[in-house]
Amino acid sequence: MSDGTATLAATWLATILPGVRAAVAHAQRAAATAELPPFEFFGPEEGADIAAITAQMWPADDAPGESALEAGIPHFIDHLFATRSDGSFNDKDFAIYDGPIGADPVDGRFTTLVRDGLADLATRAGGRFAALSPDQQRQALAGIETTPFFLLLRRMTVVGLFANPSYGGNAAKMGWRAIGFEDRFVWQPPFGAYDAGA
Amino acid sequence: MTQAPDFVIVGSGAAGGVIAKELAVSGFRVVVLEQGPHLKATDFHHDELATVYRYALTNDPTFSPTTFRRSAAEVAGSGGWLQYARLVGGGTAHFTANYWRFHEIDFNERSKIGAIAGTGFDDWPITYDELEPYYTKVEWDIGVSGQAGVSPFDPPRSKPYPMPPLPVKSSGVLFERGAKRLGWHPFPAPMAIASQPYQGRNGCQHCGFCEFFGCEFGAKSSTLFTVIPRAQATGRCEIRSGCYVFRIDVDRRGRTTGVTYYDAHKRERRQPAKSVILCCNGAETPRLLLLSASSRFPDGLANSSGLVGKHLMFTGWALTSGVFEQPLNEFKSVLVTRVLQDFYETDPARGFYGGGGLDARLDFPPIGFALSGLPPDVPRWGAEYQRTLRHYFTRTMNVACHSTSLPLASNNITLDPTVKDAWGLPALRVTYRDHPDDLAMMRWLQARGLELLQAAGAQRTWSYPVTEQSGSNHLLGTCRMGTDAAASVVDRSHRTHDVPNLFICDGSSFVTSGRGQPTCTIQALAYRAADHIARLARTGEIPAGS
Repeated sequence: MSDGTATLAATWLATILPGVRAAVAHAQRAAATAELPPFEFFGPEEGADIAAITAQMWPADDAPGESALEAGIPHFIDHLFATRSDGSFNDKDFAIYDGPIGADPVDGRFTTLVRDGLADLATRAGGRFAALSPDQQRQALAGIETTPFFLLLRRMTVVGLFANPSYGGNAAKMGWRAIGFEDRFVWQPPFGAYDAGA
Repeated sequence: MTQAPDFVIVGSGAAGGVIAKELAVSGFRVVVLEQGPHLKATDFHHDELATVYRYALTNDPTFSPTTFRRSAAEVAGSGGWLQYARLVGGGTAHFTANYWRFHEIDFNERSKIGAIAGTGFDDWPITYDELEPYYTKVEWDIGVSGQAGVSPFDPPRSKPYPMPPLPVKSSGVLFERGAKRLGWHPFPAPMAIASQPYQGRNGCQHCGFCEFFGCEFGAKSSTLFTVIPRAQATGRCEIRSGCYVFRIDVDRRGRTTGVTYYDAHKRERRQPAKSVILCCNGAETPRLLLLSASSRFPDGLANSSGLVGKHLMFTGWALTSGVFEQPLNEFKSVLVTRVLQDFYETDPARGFYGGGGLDARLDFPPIGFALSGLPPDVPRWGAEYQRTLRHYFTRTMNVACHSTSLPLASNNITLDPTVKDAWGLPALRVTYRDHPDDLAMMRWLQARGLELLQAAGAQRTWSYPVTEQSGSNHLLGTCRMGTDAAASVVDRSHRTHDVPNLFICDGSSFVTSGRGQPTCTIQALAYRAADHIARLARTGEIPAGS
């Protein structure tokens, strides 16, 4: 196997000036702690933490104004919990989960999992997660990235970003545009660079 | 009281749709009962979350649970998955539409290479030559795109494909480049998708949502868009959707008199019939026979051999990935445009049984790619994840490997003793562990896939570890066909050995698995079965007519 990814990543990092990075991080933090629309399920502090977590998972480093926040992810997640607060998470929600929770992730334990996870993060942070600096936030998340709590929020973030915008998490097709996907009903060849003239 | 139709067909998929049309066109009265809804092309959409993750078109484990275990010594629990479509058209509505014929060797491999100890490996009671006219018939009747004569490994055919292949994608160009550098023989993928307008249907518009999705243009040659409307047009075939058949009724003479089902409101209904044909797929067909146990048939209907549900085969599967310098944009158009079958036959030099083929594709719509499409060492969140995803989504392709599964009696479908579905009926229980040769074949083919991607100039390649399979959408072998009533469930005509007016035709009829793409053969068998069943009805061997 080649080390293409590592090379690619190194190139990217080198092109990002530290000053730019700090400014972006600051904007991100400001957005995360700015007043968010009200949440259906989560309290304001929980909601702000979820916003900050998802903005770290899908930041705006390369596309200002297009982090998970602008894509609507915090409220996409909030809505999932609001509509399943009776514990009706079921097999259909495997889409939003890819880590172990005891035997079966098929009940309202998602609710406990995320509430306990947020509380635990606040304890570790000695205050709300959203109030940490961006570097501290990343460090805190790196420390829990194999936990079911983290995996659940990560999966929900990714699903929201690339699901149909009608679900509220891919606002203005932000996720799709980021990766170069376009949902059309009709395409014509050539489809890509290698089949032109084929 | 309305008279019983000549035939009730349970299931409207690959086989059920074909048999319904053939029998209705031949003048018989047919009722088709389908669990799922009867959707139109305009009902289909590109909603990946609903379709792939929330079972919009497939069996939904929230009300139809499946339990899974590796061996009979275990108590089955969660962790397995079987996927089959639950709508009119069945699997042909949502499948990728790969449409490989079997080769001669798939029918007589045991005679060629000998028995394999501890397995149910056997010849089919029919040959490729016998099925060839039906392969041709299905290709022309439903509409298949492809190019005959390119692959030196193609089995003989009496007619070319009715439509030219679909336009090659970047993955196909790269696949061809890599394969040719290695001295292999790529060829245009045969696909059950119209590459141009065909019999009043639209040609493909290249929207890119074939695998898992229904076709909003009706260009996919599903039974939903092809034979089912023609069956209905005869005025002799009713397609009744929302009907969950749970029992095959039998009289004192041991003949079936029809079926009992729950309608969409869970009301119990009975549908009498002169003969019954099961086309429910390789999991639901044996389950229905086992659910139909009675004092006369205590081990399940048509199960005097004890083989109902046994010899479940998934087919082998492995995936490799490569990223290229320029965008491929694999999200556009049909999934697969190039295939190769250089490794189709068993080669003793490999040291194990098996064979298969490779194809070029990107197996992930956007959510799937973001969750599982990147190399294993890429971070799964944050800036580097995002940058890698931005770069990789349009530049990645897979080589998918499709291979054999050996028939093992220990791999099977049974009724779960404790878990029930939403109707209170015993859940499907799956017991499955791949034969070591099947795993070896998957790994061997996967290594060829990586070689191909490297030869094609991939900047980086990676693969998904081959592990024991815990599910599939290819459900085969569970009511195998044979001449010996003690060693098979149906005869050469798809008639059950035990119940003279009960027939079975679907993936369950397979004796061996083939090499990964079963639908073409299921449908060829269905045309052939319909011929045989119509003959039996005409000669009075089974009751028909008024």
